[in-house]
Amino acid sequence: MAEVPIERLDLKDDRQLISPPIVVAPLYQCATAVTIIGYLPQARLDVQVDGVTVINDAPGGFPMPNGATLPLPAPFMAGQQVRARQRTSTATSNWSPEITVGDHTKDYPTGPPRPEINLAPVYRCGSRTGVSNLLTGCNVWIHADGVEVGRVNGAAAHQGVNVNPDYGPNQNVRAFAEMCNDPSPPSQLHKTQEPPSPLPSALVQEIFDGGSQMTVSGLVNGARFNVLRNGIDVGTWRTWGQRHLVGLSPSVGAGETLAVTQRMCLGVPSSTPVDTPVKPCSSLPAPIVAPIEDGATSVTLLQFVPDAVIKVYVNQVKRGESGGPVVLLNSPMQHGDTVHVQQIVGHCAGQIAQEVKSLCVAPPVTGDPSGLNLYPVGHKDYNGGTITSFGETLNVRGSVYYPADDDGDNQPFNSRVKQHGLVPIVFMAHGNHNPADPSYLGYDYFQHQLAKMGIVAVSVDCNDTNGPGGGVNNIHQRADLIIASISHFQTLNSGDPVFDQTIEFSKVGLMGHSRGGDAVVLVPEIIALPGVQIQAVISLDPTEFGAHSGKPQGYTFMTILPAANGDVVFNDGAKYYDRAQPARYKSQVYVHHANHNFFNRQWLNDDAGGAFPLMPRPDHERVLSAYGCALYRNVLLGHATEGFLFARELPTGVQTQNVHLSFEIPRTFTVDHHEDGNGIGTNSLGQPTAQGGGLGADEYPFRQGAGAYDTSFFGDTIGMVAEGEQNGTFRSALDKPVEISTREIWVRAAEVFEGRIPPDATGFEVGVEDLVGNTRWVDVDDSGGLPRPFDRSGWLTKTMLKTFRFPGRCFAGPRGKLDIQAVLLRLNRRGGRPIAFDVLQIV
Amino acid sequence: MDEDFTSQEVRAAAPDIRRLPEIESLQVVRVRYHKPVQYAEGASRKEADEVIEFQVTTSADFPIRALAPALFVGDTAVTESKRIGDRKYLFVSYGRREFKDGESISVGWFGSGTPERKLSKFTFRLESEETR
Repeated sequence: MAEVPIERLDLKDDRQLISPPIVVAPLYQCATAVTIIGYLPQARLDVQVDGVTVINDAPGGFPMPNGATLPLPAPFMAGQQVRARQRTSTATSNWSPEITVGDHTKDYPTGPPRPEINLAPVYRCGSRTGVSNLLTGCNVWIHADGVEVGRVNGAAAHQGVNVNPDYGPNQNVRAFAEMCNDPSPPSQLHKTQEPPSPLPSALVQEIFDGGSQMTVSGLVNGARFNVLRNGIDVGTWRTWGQRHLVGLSPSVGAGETLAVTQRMCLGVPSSTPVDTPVKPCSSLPAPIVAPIEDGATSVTLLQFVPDAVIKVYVNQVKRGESGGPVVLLNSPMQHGDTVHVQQIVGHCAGQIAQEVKSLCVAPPVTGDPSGLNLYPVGHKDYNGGTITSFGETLNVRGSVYYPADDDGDNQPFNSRVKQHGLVPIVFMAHGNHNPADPSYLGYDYFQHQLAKMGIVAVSVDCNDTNGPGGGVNNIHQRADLIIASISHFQTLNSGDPVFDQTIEFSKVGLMGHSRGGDAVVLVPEIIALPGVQIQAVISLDPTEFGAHSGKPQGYTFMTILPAANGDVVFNDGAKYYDRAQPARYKSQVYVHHANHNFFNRQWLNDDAGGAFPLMPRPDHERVLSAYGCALYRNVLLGHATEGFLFARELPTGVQTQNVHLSFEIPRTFTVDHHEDGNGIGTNSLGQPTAQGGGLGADEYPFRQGAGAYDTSFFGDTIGMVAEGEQNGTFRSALDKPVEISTREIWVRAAEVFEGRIPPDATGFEVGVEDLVGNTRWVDVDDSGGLPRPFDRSGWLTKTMLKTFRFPGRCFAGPRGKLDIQAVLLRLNRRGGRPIAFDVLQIV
Repeated sequence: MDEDFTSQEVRAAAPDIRRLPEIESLQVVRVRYHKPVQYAEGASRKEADEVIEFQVTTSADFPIRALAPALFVGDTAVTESKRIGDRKYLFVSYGRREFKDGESISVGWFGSGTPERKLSKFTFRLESEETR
């Protein structure tokens, strides 16, 4: 990304070209409103249903913060096709892509999602409350002490609701929603609290000459605030809190000042206003744009002036113009395209453009796989008596979270879920720690997330096996406790007041941390409970005591490995990943700046003793939450969340720059996995390889021990290390031509650690050779770049491979189809540094 | 408004979980059982009617961590361990395994990768036999 003065560019504008707006999906029948985003400020909006205009010339107002939610003349019906366009005084856009109206009962058979009061908390004297997690077009209302105080019919996904009267003291506040007379569960109950006193000052964010919209921050939930323009009160607004956008008419000019004062309860002083001057046009910055991937048909703005007109130029020709946060383009991005994005605020045209190049792989941030919130969450402790294991008496007990009719202890199982069918169950097992600490409570955040999306989540108390000793027996004892807990819940499934006839034991997931991560690999090898099928296992930084085959198989397997590990310093889970023969796929999540302990809320110490810089504890939890929920949702619930595990999309709220994924699907077209024992000269297809241009490559065990390339490999596989002069190549022939335009080349690769980490990164290129011998290359920097080894200052710094995707469209280009006869690797960086490769596939 | 300034807080030192204590005393006993005892070997569960116990006193307790303390007789790891008192540990080798007299005794961590070891002043010598 770079900032380029507009004057240096030769941008070709087209005043007739404005982008279609975007109809917010999904759409469901019975919705009485539709939300449109991504249009020009003050544009007029038209909406068609099945080709018939149902909304004509509606004022869009400002596209930010949430677009325009327009009431429909008649509710949607399933199967209808909906599209929108925008009009200005000088141009009319094309119609947006059509969205098909669905039936929410197909996506949410047990009722609409659970509304969330957002923002919380709710304060006495509050006048407005935001409610999110709504289906667009539903009806939402708020109760205070059982009395309706506010309602919006035809709501946006995040809807503000004015409440009348204002909230009183100690009121119980809940939000409700319905679609097609199908009620959602009630929101979590919030008790009104006393508002902050004194009230903090609300601040006006930077605003530029020509602007018509100001951003106010620091607002108290439910406050009323007044805007002061040059010291004059121009009006009062209610807010759901924190940030609020306010339209200004006329637009502001340089030299003016804006300020805000907020109030809550009558008789309590308002906040102190703080003047913010309007900035001159010359200081308007370039907008900040999300990375753009080849094939993209839109550009997403990350930072921009909310009421700006956004112009997008591709190779200096305008391809889109609209308001933020998303601008549709009139044709897809091609590999290597250069994009310039400019923002214009009123009469003020930004003089700096943001320049980005389209990349082969730039996965978008799409959402939070742990954020699916459907049900209230109940909680119980369970006690399944005792077992005898290796001569010792162990208690079968722990905690369980489950979808319930309401939040809290011992709540009834959610009646609609129970009526709909059996639900999956996940058992978690902590590892070794001080037995005085209740380690089993440490994954309550993860249990809660799973329960609210419909998975029963059990955490097994393994403290009877915790302490200063250990060994293979100890791992077996943990496995015995997990199996005993599974058996206990099978018993509860037949007659327990809460769990009777609720659990589907053919959909069992396991999660184990540390020695627990060792135990969950053992459990599938020894469990003999009828009706239990283990579908997914997460091994979180597992030990390897030698208590099982060490080869996860028959289920979907994930290991999460922290690089800043002070305890299980060999990251033995990498061996489990390499050896795993999964049912559907396997996943390795290698996390820089994460330690062993911080995934468990009861484990307080940094196991590395401060030796490495770490992400904060919540960011450790976010990794387990996001990737763990993505796995269980995909395998146990059938949700399309595997994209997060195959680096096709990124989760929100995760430091993904520190997360390095490996992934592999079995029974895929594998060009070379180097495990055939046929030497470097022949690949796994039985076809010849060739080394040229000074490149030298050979196969090595990627493990500790004899024959390894060096001591920095900690997995258990055989791979290839290539090194040599600049532009040396390694060619691997296919056994038949393969058309790759809709497929991807996958390869695992890593910068080899040779004792020190050089200052510059390195990399390589992947090439494909067409049937007439021409080769097209894509650099690994176009696919995210080769990460540096995590610097452990020489103490077990690792060469840890990561999977890179190279979609065929990056090679095929606008021509579409491309048949290839070979895949090549090229070391095109100076210095000839070695790079490790493994598992070259065409997926 | 005046602004505050402070120095960064000093973090308390975290315990060194990799610390290995010294062995202060060692007693090696062959135990024969009337009733075999169960143990695990890989994923299998077996029974042994004879074990060798290493009763060890250390200079300090082992830190509690993911890995477990292990005793090494030469290069052979004895990985079943438990704490039986203040600085007292029992390491158990199951089955009729034979160790050579005079082999060096080390203490180390087991459960991840290549075990770390610390040589002790003791060597293997079977001192007594019991039947339980």
